[in-house]
Amino acid sequence: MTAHTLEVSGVSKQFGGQTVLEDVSASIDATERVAIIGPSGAGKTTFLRLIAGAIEPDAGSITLNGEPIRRGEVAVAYQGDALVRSRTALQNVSAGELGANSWWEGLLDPIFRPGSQKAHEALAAVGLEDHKHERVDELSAGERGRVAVARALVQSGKALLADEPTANLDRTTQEQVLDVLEATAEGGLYLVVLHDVSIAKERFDRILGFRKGELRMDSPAAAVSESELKSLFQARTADSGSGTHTSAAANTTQTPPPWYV
Amino acid sequence: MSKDTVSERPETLERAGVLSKSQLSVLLVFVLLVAVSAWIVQVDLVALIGDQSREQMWRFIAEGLPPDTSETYLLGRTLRDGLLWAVVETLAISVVGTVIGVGLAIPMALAATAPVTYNGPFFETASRRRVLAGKGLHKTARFVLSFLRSVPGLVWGFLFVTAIGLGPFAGALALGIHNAGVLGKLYADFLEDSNPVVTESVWTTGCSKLEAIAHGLVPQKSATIVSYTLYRWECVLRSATILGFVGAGGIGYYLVISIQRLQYQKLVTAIVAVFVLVVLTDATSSRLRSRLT
Repeated sequence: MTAHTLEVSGVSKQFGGQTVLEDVSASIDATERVAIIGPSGAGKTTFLRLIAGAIEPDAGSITLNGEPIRRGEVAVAYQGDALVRSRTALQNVSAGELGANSWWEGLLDPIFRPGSQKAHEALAAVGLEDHKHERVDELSAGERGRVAVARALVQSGKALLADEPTANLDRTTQEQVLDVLEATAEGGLYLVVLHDVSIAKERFDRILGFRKGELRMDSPAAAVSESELKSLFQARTADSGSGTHTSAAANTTQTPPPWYV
Repeated sequence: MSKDTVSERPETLERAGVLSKSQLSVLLVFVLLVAVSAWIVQVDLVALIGDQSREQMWRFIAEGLPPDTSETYLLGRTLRDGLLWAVVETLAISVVGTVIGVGLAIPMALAATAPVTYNGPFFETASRRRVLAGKGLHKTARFVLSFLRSVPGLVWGFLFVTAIGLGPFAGALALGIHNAGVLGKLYADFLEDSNPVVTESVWTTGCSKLEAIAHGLVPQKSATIVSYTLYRWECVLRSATILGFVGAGGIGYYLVISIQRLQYQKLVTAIVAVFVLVVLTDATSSRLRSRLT
């Protein structure tokens, strides 16, 4: 991947009248590996979906190299449960190439040319070459997560985004998956949502911390202190115990769109 | 009676099998419903087991045995004649009827699926006008599907016999049109029950909407769709056995002629043929279902 710059300016997003992200701004360039952290319902995935072009902000703008970002410009590794469970690992990974081909190739390839060389290589890179012909619902949660990563690897994007790619994986496999993602990003734009803060601090250059739809932390990973992390995560627990005030606050950040389950 | 005994009373009653008020109300409504329905359909158990009906049934059995297995009846005088040809024709009507039904159901089901027309990942960035147009298409498609399935296959058969004349093609069209309504609704309901995140994950690769539907939306429910399509094929076959009543081909013609002419030996043979056909189709459908899903 070559160098690109991502500019997020004053982005807000609501679903069903409830704010999920509010006035988020960040400038990210290709020299940084960015980890996105925060408690559940903080708006991390919505932030990722906005950058992926899956949804549009209600306010603000997201540009890639000065141009509004478009769907298909960035590669996204969704969580493992966003795969078609009745299809094989190879078929799911091949779906990552759809954007790069013509629509008729996209419809006919699965029948006449199932699985390109790139798709086979991506599965090998995540250590699943022996499972490529297995249906996704026969794989473990960790393996499904790796299939999702492999699908992002075959996409020709200007940035690589991943939503909790290390979830359900043991430490060794987590490292392997992140190695593969980093190698694919090749110094380009690279943003990963993580639940494991220690990995974020060890392997990333910059950490964006979300809470209740707001960007509460934007610091070099090395500079993030334990107290900052505590306030990012534990404040939510404190909020949760404070009666009516909390429920309103939680509602503003945790409501997905009506169809998003 | 002690306080403890009083407080334990409801639990004791429940254990003893006594119904609660709401359960009793439901039971009473159900009993009333059955009683009114039985009165409307003039249920007469005495008539069923009376001398006259027993005599008629015995007469039917006595006159129906042995079944007519003569070559003329089974094979007829030409290729497209005889009971066995009617069996084959019934099977063919069910196959062509199901294919017509599926062919018409697919586009209508997509139009009747909210994630395809106005709601979900494809419409996150769509204009309000586009969403409204999609809602209109969705409602129209649902209405058409309701109409198609609300008219019974036999009535469609009568209409097509009137339009294109007697014969099995009228039967296949009739069952195809009726089942397009049934299958279209089923497909649309299944697709609306899919996980939008899966569709979105394919959609964000930058592919076309058609590709995202083909690779993200439909595959989530393809096993269920195949399973129900095969089940409907079984239903279509059973319906095809009576289409001959209105001249729309198949074994129904032999059933109705035998009844009208009081040829019970021929009728028993036709009933056995229908039974074998239905059993074989069910078995084939089950095997296909287990292999394809």
